[in-house]
Amino acid sequence: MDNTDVNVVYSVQHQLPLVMYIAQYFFFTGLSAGSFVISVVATLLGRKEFKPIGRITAVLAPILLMIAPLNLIADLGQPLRFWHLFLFYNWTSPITYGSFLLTAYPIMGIVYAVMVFTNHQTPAKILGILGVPLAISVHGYTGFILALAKARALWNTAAMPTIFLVSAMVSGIGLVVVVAAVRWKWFDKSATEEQRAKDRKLIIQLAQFMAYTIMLDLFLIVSDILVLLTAHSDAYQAGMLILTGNFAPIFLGVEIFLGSIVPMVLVLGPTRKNLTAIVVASILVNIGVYAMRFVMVIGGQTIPLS
Amino acid sequence: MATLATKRYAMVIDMRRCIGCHACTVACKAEMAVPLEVNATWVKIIEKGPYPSTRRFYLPRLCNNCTNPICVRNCPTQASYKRDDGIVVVDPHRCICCKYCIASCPYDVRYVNPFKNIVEKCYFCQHRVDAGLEPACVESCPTRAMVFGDRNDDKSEVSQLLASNATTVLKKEMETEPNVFYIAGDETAMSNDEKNINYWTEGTFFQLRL
Amino acid sequence: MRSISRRNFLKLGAAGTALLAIESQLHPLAQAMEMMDGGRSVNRVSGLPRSFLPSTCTQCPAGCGIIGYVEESKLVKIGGNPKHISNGSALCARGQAGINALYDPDRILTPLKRVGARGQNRWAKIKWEQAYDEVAKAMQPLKSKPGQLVYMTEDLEHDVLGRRLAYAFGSANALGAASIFGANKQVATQLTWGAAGDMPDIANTKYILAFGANPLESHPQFVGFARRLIDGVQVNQAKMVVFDVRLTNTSTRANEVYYINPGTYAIVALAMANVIMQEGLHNAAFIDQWTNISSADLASHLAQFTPEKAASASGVSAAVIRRVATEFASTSPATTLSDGMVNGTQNERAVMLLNIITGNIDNRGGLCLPREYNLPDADPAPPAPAPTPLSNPADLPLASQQSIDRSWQLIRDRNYQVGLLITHSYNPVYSNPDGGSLADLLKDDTIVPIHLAVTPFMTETAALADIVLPETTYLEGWDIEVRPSLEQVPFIALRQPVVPPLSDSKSFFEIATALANSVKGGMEQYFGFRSVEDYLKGRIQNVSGLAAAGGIDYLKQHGVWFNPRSKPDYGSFNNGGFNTPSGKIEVFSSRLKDKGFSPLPVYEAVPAFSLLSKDELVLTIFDTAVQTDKTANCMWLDEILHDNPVWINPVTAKQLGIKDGDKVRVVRTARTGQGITPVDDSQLNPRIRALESTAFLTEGIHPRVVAMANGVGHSGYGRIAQGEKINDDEVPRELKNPNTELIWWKEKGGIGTNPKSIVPVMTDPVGGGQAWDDIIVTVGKIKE
Ligand SMILES: Nc1nc2c(c(=O)[nH]1)N[C@H]1C(S)=C(S)[C@@H](COP(=O)(O)OP(=O)(O)OC[C@H]3O[C@@H](n4cnc5c(=O)[nH]c(N)nc54)[C@H](O)[C@@H]3O)O[C@H]1N2
Ligand SMILES: Nc1nc2c(c(=O)[nH]1)N[C@H]1C(S)=C(S)[C@@H](COP(=O)(O)OP(=O)(O)OC[C@H]3O[C@@H](n4cnc5c(=O)[nH]c(N)nc54)[C@H](O)[C@@H]3O)O[C@H]1N2
Ligand code: SF4
Ligand code: SF4
Ligand code: SF4
Ligand code: SF4
Ligand code: SF4
Ligand SMILES: [Mo]
Repeated sequence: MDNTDVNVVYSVQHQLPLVMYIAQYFFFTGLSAGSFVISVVATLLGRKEFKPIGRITAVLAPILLMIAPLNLIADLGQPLRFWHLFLFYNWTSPITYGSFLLTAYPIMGIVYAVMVFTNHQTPAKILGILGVPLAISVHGYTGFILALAKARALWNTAAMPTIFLVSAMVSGIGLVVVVAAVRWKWFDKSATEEQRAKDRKLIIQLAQFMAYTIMLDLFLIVSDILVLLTAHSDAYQAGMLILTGNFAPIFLGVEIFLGSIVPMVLVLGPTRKNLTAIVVASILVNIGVYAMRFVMVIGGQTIPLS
Repeated sequence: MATLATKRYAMVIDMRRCIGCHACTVACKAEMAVPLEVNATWVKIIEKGPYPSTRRFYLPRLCNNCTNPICVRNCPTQASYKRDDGIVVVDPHRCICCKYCIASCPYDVRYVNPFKNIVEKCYFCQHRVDAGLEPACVESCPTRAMVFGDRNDDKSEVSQLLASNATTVLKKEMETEPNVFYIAGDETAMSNDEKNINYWTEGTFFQLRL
Repeated sequence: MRSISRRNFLKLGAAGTALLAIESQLHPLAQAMEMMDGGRSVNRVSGLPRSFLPSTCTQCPAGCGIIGYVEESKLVKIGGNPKHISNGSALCARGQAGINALYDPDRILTPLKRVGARGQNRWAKIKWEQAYDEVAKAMQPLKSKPGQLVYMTEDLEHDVLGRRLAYAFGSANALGAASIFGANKQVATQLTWGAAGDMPDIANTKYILAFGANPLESHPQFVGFARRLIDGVQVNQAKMVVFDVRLTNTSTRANEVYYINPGTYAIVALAMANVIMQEGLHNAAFIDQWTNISSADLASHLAQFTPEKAASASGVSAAVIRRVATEFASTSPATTLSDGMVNGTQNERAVMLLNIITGNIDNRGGLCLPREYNLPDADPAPPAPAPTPLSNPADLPLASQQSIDRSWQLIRDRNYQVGLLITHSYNPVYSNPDGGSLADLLKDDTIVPIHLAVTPFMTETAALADIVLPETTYLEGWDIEVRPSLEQVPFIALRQPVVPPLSDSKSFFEIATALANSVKGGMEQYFGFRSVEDYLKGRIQNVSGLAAAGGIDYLKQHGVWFNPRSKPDYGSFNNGGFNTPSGKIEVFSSRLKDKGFSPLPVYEAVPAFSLLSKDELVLTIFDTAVQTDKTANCMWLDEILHDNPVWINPVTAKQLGIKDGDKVRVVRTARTGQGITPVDDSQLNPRIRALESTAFLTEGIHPRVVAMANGVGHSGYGRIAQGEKINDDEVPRELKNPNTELIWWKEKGGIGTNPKSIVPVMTDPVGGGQAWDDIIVTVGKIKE
């Protein structure tokens, strides 16, 4: 039957189960995971010039991760029952894993931060190494939450956890760049000129690293969309929803153009040595990733299942 | 007399008898105290074909009380669970209203009760079934298009209907093994191919709570 | 489950077994009903059984048997009554939503007296005593001219008590509104076979021809009829052929569907009859024995209606007409359906003819006589006063006492002076044609000096009253309810309060009794019953067999009774003939001839239709399965159907430059009504000539027709009917319902438009019935 001949005379609208709290939650865990990984890399490399970065990120990671679940609890219709998650856990539900990860990870993050600040290098390194998979899981599982909702075409792809992870790295680096730049500009006046030059260089390097991660992210997104467009009809609709439909302005305009292309140009183009441009790029990157969470979480639910 | 554990409840909806009257919808609103704005069951109606061979097709929709329910698999608190007789229920005291089951269900049949802040859905009127009654929608259906009963009992009307008719289920590819079967269900009405995305955007932003 | 059900059913005891005995002689459906588990309900949380009482639904004319389930004296659910012969445990959407009407937050719970001008909707609450006094004061001066008391109700047949009130006062003007529903059919059938109405034996038939009837959405016996029709089509493998101007739920279940030109089905029916006679497929023996015309005379009369002529008028091909006619005549039994109120009494007679010439009259599977107890009013019954021009309009000699549009016309034109108008269960400002002018009329106190509305709800009409008396809803009131039986076995049902009257509302029996006793002057002698039960006992006292079964107590317990010894007595005319002057089916009606109408069934074209210009379309207004005129205060129904966009065929829409969802204006042209009764457009208020709506493009409609659903677009009837959210804090305790705060459709879909607002009064000169589907309109996009 030709689709143009079909008229839906009556159906009902459905609630959007997952709202902005969830998108926000995904954004914050992403930020946290991203900064934690950078911190650990900095700690592991052990180079003196990385130390400030390692410290900033060590603090950021657990703080962000404590903000993240607040969103989750606020989203619960029965917030006072959050403890049911631990008492009545269900090992086939990704959320159960999430609840335990979300508990373990900040604790270890705090211990790690203490080690970093008290200059206990070895325990910090060990905790860091242990912590990276935890951080990856904590964020990766959010991708699984979406991917395991089988019927939602926009979510149900194997690439979803990876896309979430890579964009988490992007936004995490972006945040670190911003914080580091702010620190460099206003709060780090005591350092020597030489140290400041090194720090500056580091920020620029970090930003370039961010640009390469964005490329990886774009690659993943493009492949995901190509597959969507060629798979079954729900998937095609999902693809078209973000390419030409209601979510196109946010997806193409904010996530892709403002949040990916522009920052790449700013960071790799003629302004690559300009700290202001880099900071702008990093902020844009975060806006882009926030938009990505919105498009994925909300957009993914607007395709009706009935 | 069969024991509870050996029962396997199912519903068969004979679309050759359905007249799209919405009696089932209202029966459920009343029986389950389903608030306005949300629905545990509803009747989708489409039209297809050019004039003058246009026809209407109906599709009463409700929770399939799946044998392999994704909602149960994904519920983090075991608030959603499957009874021994196959009915999938939500424990209102345990549900934390994370809504992940709603996101997971391939059929859009769960909702948050705005007064109680817990997730609800059709549970084949377990309270009536347990009391030896038919589900409310089944009882009210003017044309007896809906039939409910035990698939494990060969003599039950559902078993006989299933044995003697070709039936289909919604989104078989989801492998949820629905226990709501349709006789002569229209393919277009049962797929969501014809959906017009714009129809839903209003709801999208309307339902946004942040 | 099935076996449990059977046991439960048997538990009903002796009465139950008696029922069972007869049911098994009836249609297999009745046996199925026996197995159906119903009549019980349990609390969702505790699982405890709920207490219950049987009663009757009056959300529409069907009068299905219901059971009200009660917890802590609150009605919590309405279910079907498994013992009811018509609907069993099944109940339509509206029946189940009746609970919304009972607890409508805007229900009137105390008598109201108008302050300010009529229609300003400003009221003072008054005591019942004061209300009765004021009405009595208005009635007393009319004692010398009792005809000035004009009582109007929706369906006079089902408002025996109202008629009693008017007659007791000495007024013949107890007026019903059949002219806006089935009047033409009633008159046509009465003239033809001596009984008002018909009852197709639908479950047992083999062939169904439907002309402008939509039983799967809007049969006068909706639930019971729909079930039997589906049984007929699915179990009995009956073939169904539908002629309609649009796609309906009935078409969906039909084997063949024809989009017929509006107003032309009579010629198709006559051409089919012609084919049947020509081909010799008619039942000559039946015609010769049971009609007052010979086969030969009939054949020569029908010869003028050739299939070709019918084809050019109706758009249905001659080949189809021939084939369907042949199939109909050679399949036995077969029946027709015609509930559409299209153009007149003659149409009904034309369709009936198909059953007559094939002998499908009162046989199993054919078109049966309506079997219904005809219960007189209780003794002492007031004598019927002499007819008045209002009760029996001179120009409608064959019509019943229910030609309300003509009555309104006489009142409007000041040809009949009203002293006190009582409207009971009747909302003409919304339901009648030309309701807008009726609103103007009701504001004029020289035409209607005093208007008393007896109603539970502030309808568009009640808003124009001087005094409003809060009657109970149907769920708190009493009545004896009879309907033509779908099983061909007459039955009696009871309507009794499933919950006590809320707050200060009173049943109509109480109100009528109190009024009669305050007015006195002799009328009180007809209202001396000790209780409403006493009165109802009087109405059923002569029914043989019921008293032995337990009389009213049986009804109170079971809700319904029929004589367990009765069987469907198909062919009852064989003993004693038909109730017509000739004792036969009057295909040739001398009574029609005497009044100057064609005595034989003919096709009367609506002239305006053949003259339709390029941009003129015919507006049809149809009923839906989820609303009637009086259900809009039920939020569960409004949530499903709250809007009624204008159906337009995409081809037509393209010509008019209209896209789906566009705002459109529908304007009635001055040519509406030509050939029916001329409508003097200049007399009408111009504001009621046009309406605004949105376009709904659908392939399911004739390109020359546009259609709108009935039942929405209220401008009164409380806030729910108007789609307003209600702040639950301000609602009286007994009516609270937090759901009313969630009403969403006004913002998101709209509340529709009342299409009847642009329909002028167009009366069939024979039956007096309103032509609802013959409005000529233009449709244009509203530029924004
Ligand atoms: N669910 C429900 N049931 C009801 C009611 C209700 O409102 N809702 N109302 C009750 C009442 S009071 C009544 S009187 C009955 C009415 O019962 P019906 O008369 O069956 O109902 P309608 O919808 O008014 O009209 C029937 C059909 O006639 C078609 N029609 C219109 N014009 C033409 C024409 O020119 N030619 C042909 N061939 N067809 C045409 C319409 O499209 C419509 O589908 O229903 C009763 N039952
Ligand atoms: N264009 C067009 N117009 C139509 C039709 C059509 O097909 N096309 N259909 C026509 C037909 S068939 C009909 S029957 C009429 C129906 O029109 P009406 O004869 O006006 O009948 P309703 O509006 O159904 O009910 C009358 C009033 O009953 C009152 N009421 C509701 N519930 C209760 C209760 O429980 N107790 C009491 N005491 N009162 C109650 C309310 O005040 C309600 O407004 O509309 C007609 N109008
Ligand atoms: S009640 Fe029965 S006939 Fe009516 S829509 Fe539901 S399934 Fe169909
Ligand atoms: S239909 Fe959805 S909610 Fe119902 S059991 Fe299946 S997966 Fe769960
Ligand atoms: S909302 Fe309730 S039932 Fe659904 S997944 Fe969460 S806890 Fe389970
Ligand atoms: S079985 Fe019960 S809960 Fe399920 S749709 Fe029917 S009435 Fe609603
Ligand atoms: S058909 Fe529906 S509204 Fe009419 S009497 Fe029956 S249950 Fe009530
Ligand atoms: Mo009617």
